[in-house]
Amino acid sequence: MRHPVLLIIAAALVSFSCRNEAEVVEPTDSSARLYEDVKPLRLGARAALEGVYRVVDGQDVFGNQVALKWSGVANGQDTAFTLSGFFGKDVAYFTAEGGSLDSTVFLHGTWRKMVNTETGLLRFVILAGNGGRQLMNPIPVIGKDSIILYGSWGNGSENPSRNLVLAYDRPLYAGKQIEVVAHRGGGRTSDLLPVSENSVEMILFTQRLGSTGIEIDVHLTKDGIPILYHDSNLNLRLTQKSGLVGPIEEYTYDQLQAVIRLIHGERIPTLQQALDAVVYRTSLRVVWLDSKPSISLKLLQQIQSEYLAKAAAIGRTLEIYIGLPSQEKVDEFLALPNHAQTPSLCELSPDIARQINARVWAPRWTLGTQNDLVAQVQSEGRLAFVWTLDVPDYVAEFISTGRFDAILSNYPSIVAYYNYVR
Amino acid sequence: MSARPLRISAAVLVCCLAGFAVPGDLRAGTPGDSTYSLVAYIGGGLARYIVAPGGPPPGVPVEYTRTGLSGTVRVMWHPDHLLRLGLESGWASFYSYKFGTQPSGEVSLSAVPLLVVWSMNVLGVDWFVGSGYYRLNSNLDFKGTVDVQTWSLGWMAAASYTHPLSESLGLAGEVKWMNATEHADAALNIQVQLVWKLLEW
Repeated sequence: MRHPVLLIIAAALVSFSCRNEAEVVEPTDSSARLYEDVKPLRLGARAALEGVYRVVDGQDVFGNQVALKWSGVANGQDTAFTLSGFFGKDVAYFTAEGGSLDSTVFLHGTWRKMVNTETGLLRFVILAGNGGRQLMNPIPVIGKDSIILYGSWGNGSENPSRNLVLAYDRPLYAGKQIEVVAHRGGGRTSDLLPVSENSVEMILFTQRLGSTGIEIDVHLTKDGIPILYHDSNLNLRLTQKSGLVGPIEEYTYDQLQAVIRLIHGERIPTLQQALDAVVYRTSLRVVWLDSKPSISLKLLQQIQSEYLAKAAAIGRTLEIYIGLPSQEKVDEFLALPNHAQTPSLCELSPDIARQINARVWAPRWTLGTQNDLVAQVQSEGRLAFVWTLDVPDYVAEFISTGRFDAILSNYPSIVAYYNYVR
Repeated sequence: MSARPLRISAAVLVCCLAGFAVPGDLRAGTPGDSTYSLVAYIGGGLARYIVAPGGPPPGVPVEYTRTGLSGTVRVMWHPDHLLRLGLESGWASFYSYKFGTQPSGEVSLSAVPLLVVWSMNVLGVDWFVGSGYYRLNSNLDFKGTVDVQTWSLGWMAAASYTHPLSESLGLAGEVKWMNATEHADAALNIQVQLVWKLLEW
């Protein structure tokens, strides 16, 4: 009788072991209203605050240095600026907002570790004598230890009480920059970010993670509307429960809008809505259009051309590449009129990249740094991107010894860290 | 009630009953006498969707129907020991809802299970557990009609009491929990079944 009992117990355990119930609860700061009276920092102060800082207190949790970098999201005539900190330990980062009151700078925000679900509140103050007064100068003079951020952090929504002290060490690396291209519109839903992958909200969020570019996944609805969505099927990994299942291409755009919401409640955006957000609300420089099997490259080419023109019309530096992940897509691309002048990204061999005059050759990271091949491709006037690099040690190696122009990653903050601390 | 306590309760129930297992009254096949048989369970009844159903975005008016019909076809091999093995299929309505106003729409979801099932008679009741796949059928009627199917990993657990009508026929009442785990769908079924010994050797 023992075996049947074990079998039933095993069946029950297998059945109940399938769900991943990890979650990150976004901390809420009940004292945020205290920061309403601060004045936004001027451009000069923001620029002076950027840099590589030593972690003086809090190394055991956040590592020994952090790169601070501002990003902004436009909303009409206004732009909301966020200071991000990229740590080398545990793929940790923070985002903070704030400003100055007299000669003191106040910042508040949240921190997160991407290797787990740890998150919490964070507050900083830069006293007048610790760099605050210098930052208020029209031309701040910044040097080693001239800015000290006295901060505190806590877990979850608890009041921050543990010390985090940062001291200015040096400017961010100013040599040839690597483009930090974030996967799935800026970050994956499975990494428990506060917004859903492949949404307009994620596109507006991802610069806080250090991204300078995004890769987005383009499907076609039943009525021919290009939309952003990664998987072939509607599922609970990416969408809220709706009762609709099966291939997303079976549904029209109106049907999806009426019933489907992404995990955090966002609508599935059209490609045009996504590119509008990129062009008019962010300073992202690279968009990689990952063409799913259903999407027509002719349609992508038209939209790409339209949005490159829109970006140029407002003086934006922006490259939009049509991603070609397979020989079928390459063949379809070759049949396009004017394909040789169409910016494309070839994931196949350098020979095929040459054949179609791709602007970018993009091999997978497991093939290594391939410095000779990369140099050869670059000598032909092409760029070389590598995908999808997530392991911090390899990110460090590819940045320090490789020659790639861009790294595609699910963890843009760690790529930004190794890029800026060089 | 959330899905997690229900799942835990079901697991505890299954494990406890397994612990009390004693040789039962096997109405179709007798342990130890080297008699094998194939027994069919065919029946129908009601299905009640018992976890939070999916729906339209917040703020959109919605009207749910969570009780519908269900049917079962199951064939079990009764060997000369306690544990029986078989296959199950059938159909169950999960839920449907009407949403929106001008234009309004309707979504319905049903499932066809394809499960490998084990069973044992404990305290005069046949206990079934099964795992496999559910073929989910989703229908949307909003600015056009869409019928789509997909597979979901899942399981079921059931308790059935059989009243013998003859040597080869019985009438059973069954309570069954169906769970399409991958899509977080679950329904409680109450069915009346005809139990029929198809073959004996």
